[in-house]
Amino acid sequence: MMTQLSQPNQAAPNDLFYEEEEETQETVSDSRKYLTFVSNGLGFAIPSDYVIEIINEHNITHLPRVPGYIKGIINLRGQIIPIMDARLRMGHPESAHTKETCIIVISVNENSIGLFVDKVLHMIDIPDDAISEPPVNNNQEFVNGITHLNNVVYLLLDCELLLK
Amino acid sequence: MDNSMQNMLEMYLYETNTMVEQLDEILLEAENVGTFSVENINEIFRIMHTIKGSSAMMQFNPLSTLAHQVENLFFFMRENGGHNEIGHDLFNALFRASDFIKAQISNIENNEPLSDDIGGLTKEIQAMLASLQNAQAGEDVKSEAQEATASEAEQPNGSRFCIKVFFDEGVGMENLRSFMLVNTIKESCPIDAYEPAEIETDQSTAAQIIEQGFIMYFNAKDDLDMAIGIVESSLNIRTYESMELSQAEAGAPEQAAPPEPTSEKTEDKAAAGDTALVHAEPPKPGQAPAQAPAAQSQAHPGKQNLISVNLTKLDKLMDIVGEIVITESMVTSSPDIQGFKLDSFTKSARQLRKLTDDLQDTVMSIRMVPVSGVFQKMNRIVRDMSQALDRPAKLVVVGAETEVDKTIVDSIGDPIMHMVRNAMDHGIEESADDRVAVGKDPTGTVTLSAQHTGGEVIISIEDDGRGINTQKVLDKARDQGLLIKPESEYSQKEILQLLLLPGFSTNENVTEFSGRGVGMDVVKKNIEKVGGVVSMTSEIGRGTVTTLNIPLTLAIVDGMEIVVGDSIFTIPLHNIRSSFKVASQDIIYDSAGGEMICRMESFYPIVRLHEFYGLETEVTGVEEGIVIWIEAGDKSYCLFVDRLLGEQQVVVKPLPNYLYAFNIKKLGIAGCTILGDGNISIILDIPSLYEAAVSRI
Repeated sequence: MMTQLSQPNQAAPNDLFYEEEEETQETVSDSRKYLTFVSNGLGFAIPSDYVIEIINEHNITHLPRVPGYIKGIINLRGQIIPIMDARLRMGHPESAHTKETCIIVISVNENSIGLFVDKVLHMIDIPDDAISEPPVNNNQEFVNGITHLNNVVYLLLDCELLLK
Repeated sequence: MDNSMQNMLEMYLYETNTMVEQLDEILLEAENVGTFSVENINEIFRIMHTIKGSSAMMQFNPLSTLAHQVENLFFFMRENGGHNEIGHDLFNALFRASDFIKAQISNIENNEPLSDDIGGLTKEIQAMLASLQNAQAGEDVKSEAQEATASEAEQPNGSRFCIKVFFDEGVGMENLRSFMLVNTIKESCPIDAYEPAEIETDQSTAAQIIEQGFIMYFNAKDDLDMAIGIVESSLNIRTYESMELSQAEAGAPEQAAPPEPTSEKTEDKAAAGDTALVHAEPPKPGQAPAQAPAAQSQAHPGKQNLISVNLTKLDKLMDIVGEIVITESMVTSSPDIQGFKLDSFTKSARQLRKLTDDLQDTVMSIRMVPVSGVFQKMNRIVRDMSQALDRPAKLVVVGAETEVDKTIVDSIGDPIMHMVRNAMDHGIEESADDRVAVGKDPTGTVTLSAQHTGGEVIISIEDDGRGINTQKVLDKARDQGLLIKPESEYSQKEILQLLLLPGFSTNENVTEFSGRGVGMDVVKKNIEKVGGVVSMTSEIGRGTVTTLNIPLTLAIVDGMEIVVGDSIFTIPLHNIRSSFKVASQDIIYDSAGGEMICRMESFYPIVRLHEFYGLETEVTGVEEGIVIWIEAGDKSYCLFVDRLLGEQQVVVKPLPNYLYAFNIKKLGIAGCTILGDGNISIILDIPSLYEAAVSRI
C-alpha cells in the first residue's frame, strides 16, 4: 500500500516541474500566474484565478443610465455579463476599437464581469518577492502592486476594487 | 455548519413544515366533525412520531419533547379510545402544540435560538393523558390481559423472523438512525421487538449497534419481507441479514430479551441448522425487492410520488431551456442554410422545434404549484378568529387546485391572509343576532376562490358581511387629509380605492387582528410587486369582494419589442393600452415645456425614451416615431419611441447583481431578455419608469 502510494507522489512533482519549465523557461517557488494586458499603453496584470475566458468581438448592448465605464451588457452563451471599459474605469480616454481589443471575462466574488482592454499579452509567473508596493502618492487607485519582469513593468490590478 | 448538515436541516424543515400543515388540516377537519376518526388518530400519531424522531436527531429538544407528549397521548387514544371525553380542550391544546412547532420551526429557519418554554403545554397534555388513563384504568386491566393472552396464543403458532442491520462505517448516530428505521418500518408493518431496545434515549447503544448490528424481530414472514424492502431502500445501510428463528428458540426468550447469542453467531448456526439463513447479503435476489415496493405502495395509498427540488435548480433548468429555445431558432434560421432545399433537415428541425416547445412547457409546469397550500392556511385563521371574536363563520374554498408560479404563491400568502382577517374583523357582523335580524344565515361565510383567465389568475376574497360604509370611508379619509378633490366627486370605486392608501384603517379600535393602519396598502404593494392589481367592490348589507389579478408567471412575459436608436426594449403587453402616430399640433406643452397628449378627454404626459435614457437616434420628430399609451395600476402615460418591432413572448432574465448597484431598477429597467438572434432586449418596468421620468417632470 505504502509503496504504491509513494510512486505517484514522486512522479507528480516531476511532471509539474517539467511542464512549468517548458512553459515559462524558469522555475521559481512561491509564484502566482498572472494574465497580462495593455490598457492605455500601460502593462497590467491580474491574477489568473479570476480569469474565466477571453473573448474577441462581441455585440455589446448599451445600458442606459449607468456610469460611462459600463459599456453595456453582452449575452455570453445565455449568461448576461456587464462589460466594463478598463480605460474609462481608470480615468483614461476611450480609444477606437482595433483588431486587438478584446474582453477578459473575470469572476470576482461570484460576480462575472467583462473587462474591455486594448490588447491581451500572455500568461506569466510572477514570484511573490518580485512584487513591490506601489508608491504612496500613486494615483492609480486600483493598483495594488508593481512588478518589473524581463525589463517590462506590470501594474497589478486589484479586481475586487474594480467592482466597487 | 457543513454542507451535509445544511442539507439535512433543509430536509428536516421541509418535512416538518409539511407535516405541521397536514396536522392542521386534520385537526380542522376533525374539529368540524367533533371527533377524531381512527385514521386521524393514526395519522397524527405518525406525524408526531416522525417529528419527535427527526427533531431528536437534529437535537431540537423542545420540539421532540412536545411531540413526544402528544405522541403518548395519541398512542393511548389509539389503543384505548377515549378522546371524546376530553372534547374541546383537546383541540385547543393540539392547535397550540402545532403553533408552538410552527414558531420553533420559524425560529430555526431564521437562525434564532429555540425557546424552552413549553412547560404549560406539555403539562396540559400530560394531564389529559392522565385523566384518560384513570378513566380507563379498570378497562385497561381487562384489555391488557386479553392482549397478553392473545399474544401468547399467537406466539407459539409461528416462528419468529428477525433482520440484523449494519450501518455504514463511521456514519454516526447509529442509535437514532436505527430509531428512524424502526419508525419507517412501523408505518408499514408491526415490529415485534428490537434490540438494543433503548435506542431512542441511550446514546451508548450506538456502539453496540456498530459492533453487533441492529436487530428487529417480526412475527410474520410477510412483515419481514416488507421490512427487507424498506431496509434496502434506506440510506447508509452497509449490509443486513435476515433470519428465521425456529419455534423452540422463538418461544423460549421473552420479547424484551431477544436471543443475542443467536444473532451473534448467525453464520455458524445457519450451518448447524438451528437457525435458517433465508436471506443474506448481498441483497440482490429478485424476489424480495420486487415484492417490497409493491407492498409499500399498497400500504400508502395516499402517498404521492413527489420529490422536493431546490428552487435554484429549477431556475437553472429554466435558464438552460430558454437557451435551447434560442439556440434552436439560431440553428434553424441560420443564414448559412438559407436558399437551400433541405428536406430532411427541415423535417428534423420541425421535430426539434416541437420537442423544445414541449420541453419549455414542461419546465414551466414544474414551477407551477397549486394555491391550495396558501388557501389551507386560511382555514386556520378563520377558525381562530371565529372563536376569538365569537362570530360563527366558515371558509369556503373554490378552485384551490388552480396553479400559479412558485414565486408568486410565496408572495401572495401574506396579502391573502391579511384580507381574510379583514373580512373576519370588519366584514362579518359582530354577532349572529345581527345577521339573523337582516335575514342572513347566522354563520358568516368567507369565500376564497381562484380561477384562471388567459394569462392571469384571479383570486377573490369575498365575505357576506355588512359591506363597506362608503360615507365612513370618506369621513375618515377627510380626517386624514387623503382627499384630493371634493367629496361629492368621488365615485364608489374611487372611495374603495382610498382604502388601499397607506395609513388608512376605518376600525377605530385596534384589535389583535387588524386595525393598525398598516393594512391594505401593504397588500397592494405586495401584489403590485408580482405584477398584480388589487380591486374592491362592496355593497352595504351584502358584503365585500376583494379581487387580485395576478400574472401566472414572472418568468415569461408577453412583450412588445420596440426600438430606440440601436437599442431594443420590451414593454410588457399587459401595460400597453394602445399605440398611435401623432401630429405635432396634437402635442400640448405644459409650463415647464413637458409634452402632453389628450386621449379620451384626459391628458397624459409623453416620455421620450431616447431623451430619458440619453440614446442617440435619428427619430426625434414626434411625427416620425410612434407613441405608446401605457398604463400600470393607476399610473398612465405615453412613451415616445422610434418604431415597434412586434409582439414576442420573452423569458425574463435578471440583470447581473453588480449592475443593480447603480440603481437602474428605479430607472425603469426590470431585467432583460435574449432575443431569437442572440441580441439582448431590455425589459422596461412601467411603474418605476413613471416614477423616474414623469414624477420628475
